[in-house]
Amino acid sequence: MTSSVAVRRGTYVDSVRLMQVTREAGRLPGITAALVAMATPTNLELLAAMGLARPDGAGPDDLVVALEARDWEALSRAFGVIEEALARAAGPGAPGGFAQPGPPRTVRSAARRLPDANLALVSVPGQHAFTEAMDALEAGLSVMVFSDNVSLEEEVTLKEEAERRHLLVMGPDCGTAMINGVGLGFANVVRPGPVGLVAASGTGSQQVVCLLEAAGIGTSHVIGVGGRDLSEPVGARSCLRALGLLDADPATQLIVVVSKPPSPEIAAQVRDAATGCSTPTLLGFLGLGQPDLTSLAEQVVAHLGRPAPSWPRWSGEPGQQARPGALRGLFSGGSLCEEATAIAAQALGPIRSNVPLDPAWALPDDLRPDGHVMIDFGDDRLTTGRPHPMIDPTLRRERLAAEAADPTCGVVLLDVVLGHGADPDPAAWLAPAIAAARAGGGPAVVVSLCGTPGDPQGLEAQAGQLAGAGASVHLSNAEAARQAVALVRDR
Amino acid sequence: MPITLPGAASLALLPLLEEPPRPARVLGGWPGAAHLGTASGEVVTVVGPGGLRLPNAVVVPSPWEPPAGGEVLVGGGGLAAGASWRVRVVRTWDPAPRLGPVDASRLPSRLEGLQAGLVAAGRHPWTSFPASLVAALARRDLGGAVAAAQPLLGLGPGLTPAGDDMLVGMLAAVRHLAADGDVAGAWGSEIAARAGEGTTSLSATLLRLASRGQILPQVGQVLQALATGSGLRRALHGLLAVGHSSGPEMAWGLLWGGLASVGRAGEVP
Repeated sequence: MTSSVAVRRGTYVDSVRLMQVTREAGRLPGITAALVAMATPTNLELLAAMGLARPDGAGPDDLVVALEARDWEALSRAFGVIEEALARAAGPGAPGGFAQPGPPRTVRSAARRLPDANLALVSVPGQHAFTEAMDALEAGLSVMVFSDNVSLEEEVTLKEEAERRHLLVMGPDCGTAMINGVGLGFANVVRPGPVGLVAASGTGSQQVVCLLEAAGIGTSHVIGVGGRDLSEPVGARSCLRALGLLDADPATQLIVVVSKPPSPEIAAQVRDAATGCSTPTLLGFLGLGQPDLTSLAEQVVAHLGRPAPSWPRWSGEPGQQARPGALRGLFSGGSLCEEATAIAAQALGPIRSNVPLDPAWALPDDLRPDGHVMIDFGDDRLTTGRPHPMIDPTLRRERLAAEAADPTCGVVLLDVVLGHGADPDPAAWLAPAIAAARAGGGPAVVVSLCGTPGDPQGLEAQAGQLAGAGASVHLSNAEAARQAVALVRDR
Repeated sequence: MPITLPGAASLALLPLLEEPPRPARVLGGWPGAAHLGTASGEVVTVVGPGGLRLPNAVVVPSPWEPPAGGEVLVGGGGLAAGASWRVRVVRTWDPAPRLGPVDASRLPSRLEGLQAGLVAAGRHPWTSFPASLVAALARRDLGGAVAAAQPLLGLGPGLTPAGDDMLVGMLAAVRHLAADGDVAGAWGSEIAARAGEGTTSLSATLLRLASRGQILPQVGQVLQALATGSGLRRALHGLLAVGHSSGPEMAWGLLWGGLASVGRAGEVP
């Protein structure tokens, strides 16, 4: 039998770990007694009582390791195991330095840790977004505000501050952006290319980018500015700043502005700024009587000298017939909804909507009128306290089932937006819902499918499933709307 | 770039933290706690969110794992490790529970409940029942109680040796439950004075604070349950989950200190 006592000076080890080490040591082959404890006077007396040598100069803050073994080999092996276990227990801090602190708690402190960062993305509940965005600006960062439900006054204040600091505010309610090929928020996977977008319209810009991708034309940047940027109170502050940034970007050969039609004064300011750019600029102001997004994409294609494209469409049920009834549009993208409404209104007359083109066409609060209807489920009032419909299909799924059961509904028009951030497999819920709606003489279903072959969901796979369920599927939202109108009018 | 974190400090630390900065050494650090020892033997523990809120703790929003032996400054309103890491104390919290009036006549039955809970949980004490200590406290024999507690100081396994953990429980119980505050206070002061030489700096600090009634929240919750007669089961569950053996040892200490406080020295669980 042999024994040994060793002291590790100034060693504090977590009690739980200390107990584990003691237990591990006691179980090692050949070990008959083990004590790993603090070298308090009482514990040292305990050692002496066990017949073990009392170490010299050990104090209460030292760790004592006492082992009794059948032979030297077992003793030596056990000391090695204990040393290794104690070294592991000492923690990961590197000698001479301190471990990294946890994640930063404010945008400003994060900016201090990343001195090369120049952009912050704020995605918090709307009532807190102003504070975070202002924190970013004060830290010298441009900011993308993904959050909605930010007041107009706060938006103006943020953009004035950005102007003073020569920074850019994208948003609020900026759902999509792509900077140097990096998608932010909802973003499609596209090739790099010559077209830079300034968009006051999230899904509007996604539609243009996806159509251009189908035409073989890539994108340099998409700068979202928020749906209210070109309003009178905001004064197109971010739009004008973004135009300047894209104009200065050597990768951008053509700038495209996508927005609802602004007031004549704002439109004039934007036109003046566009004229002042050295880079050619196309203005796409959407709405009643205006060119649609597909026309805008075709203008881009023509401007770049490419052949006129034929936009992809998929149909699993050629010659789909609609039952008599009204058009019901169930959208997740606001701009796609407004575009479809404008197209349908030209052919069918007033279209009731929660984002009406004419105030007289506003829907009642229960969103259940008779006649033609277009609902934007991504509208602020329907997203408070719940995820965006591009992520959470619950409301649209319920409404699709309700429309299928409503004999006054002849055609349902839906959008499906693919890309990063969106539902990872929308066809998984939508295809069965379409099949159920179509069964037994239900309404015709037309889908506007906004995506690219590079998107994680796979454009062809999604289109195939939706068409297979009986829908008419179109890459062009305008073509989808026209198809839906045609089906209604055919009856 | 220095990182300055806001800290919430135990009121027990306030005098130390308000003094001019003085050097301290990192005694040890691991996920959840870093112990800083001053030359005078006081230990400040820095804990991250969700860490064990020792009565000598400064709670910071992100964990800190310094290497043992590092130099730190304690005082001047916070803590500082070189130019890279600082804590500024922005608020304080009280580690002493406020129990309100305790109905001594109901304590014995509640202590029986505590004993039953400990036995049912199968968490037997490392320390044996300190019969002579409990008896001395029960008969208010200060000298006897000090002599009986001495061999328990620094006794046994653990960073805070098991004997100390048990004594922390006893100190807390007699401080908060004993009808005769004079003997309890004097005994606590004696134990605190002797702890400096008899055990680890951390344990000595915790014994000193326990003698003033400043304890872990989990210990305070068991005391609260004993005082009010409700929530004992949940409170005991929380205390037993503390550390490896520290929680159970403190729980047994509470029981034995409670028995001494009500003058019942002869009941051996």
